[in-house]
Amino acid sequence: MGMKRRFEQLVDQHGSRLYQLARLMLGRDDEAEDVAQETLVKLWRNVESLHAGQELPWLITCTRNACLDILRGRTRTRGLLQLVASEHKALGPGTDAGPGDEMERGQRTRDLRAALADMPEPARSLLILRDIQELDVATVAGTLELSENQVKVYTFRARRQLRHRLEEESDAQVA
Amino acid sequence: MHKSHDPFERDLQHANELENSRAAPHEPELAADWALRRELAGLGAAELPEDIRAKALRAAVSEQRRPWLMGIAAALVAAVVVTVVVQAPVRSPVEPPAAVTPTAQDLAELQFAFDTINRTGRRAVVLAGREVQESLVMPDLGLAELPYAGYVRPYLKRPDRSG
Repeated sequence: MGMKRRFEQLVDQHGSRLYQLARLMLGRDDEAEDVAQETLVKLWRNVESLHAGQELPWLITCTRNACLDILRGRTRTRGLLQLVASEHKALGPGTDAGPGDEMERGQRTRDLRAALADMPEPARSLLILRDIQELDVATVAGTLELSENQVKVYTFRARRQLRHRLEEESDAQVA
Repeated sequence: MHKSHDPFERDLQHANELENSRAAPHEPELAADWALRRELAGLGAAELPEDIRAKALRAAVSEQRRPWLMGIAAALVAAVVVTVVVQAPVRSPVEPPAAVTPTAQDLAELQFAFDTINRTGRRAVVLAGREVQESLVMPDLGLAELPYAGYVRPYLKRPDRSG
């Protein structure tokens, strides 16, 4: 198979997953698009050296590292201006935002995404890869350099931590 | 089910239980975890925007062409270099010869050569004069009509070659 054809197949096969990963990690569409594009260009440069089956872990690692770099930069430059800017460029409605009568569900989705984006690493990546993208344990373990049991346990704990955060926020809103 | 006291083992059991159960577990905490897991799974996939896909493919194609562009650029540079090298002797002005600083030995040899030429030249003139003098016709200067011609005549006589 030609290199270009293989690249196109990989883009079609994994592109959406990478974009979703970046979107959920960063909480911003514009940055997620940049990360996805940058990762795909890197894929093109490395596609020849990647063996079959290695592509997805490699792509996830690339995407995640790019996101973590951005998040680290954000932490350094966090301030009022950045928070104001984020308000304007926050995640768009996405494919699952409900119109009209589904506003409540849409709000819940936004809360979930916001809480997820605030989770520490590797809890956030584990929840995205395991619970949202439903990647198999072995792939996630290989990508995050954890044992399979660690992936299961850490994901379980991350999920519980996320649930507690959501419940606390919900309680705070009611109060 | 056996409940482990080790937190890691206990959480691993819970994780496996959640993963394998199709319905919500009875324990309330686990049931809430199970529900959140389903909720997260239902967040839905985000489609890669078409423009990002197109940009990535375009970038790949442009990078694929880059070696050709590099080849053309290299060929152009090579052509320019060859042209410059070929034209360089034509364009460059004639350089003055390098200054020679003769040594004392060179000067001595040069002087010897001049002296040799001088001696040989003088000898050649003397020999040639002797050879051709006899064939020359002495012009009549009309000396006899001059006063004191007898004093001048001996100086105009041909040299005697017999001796």
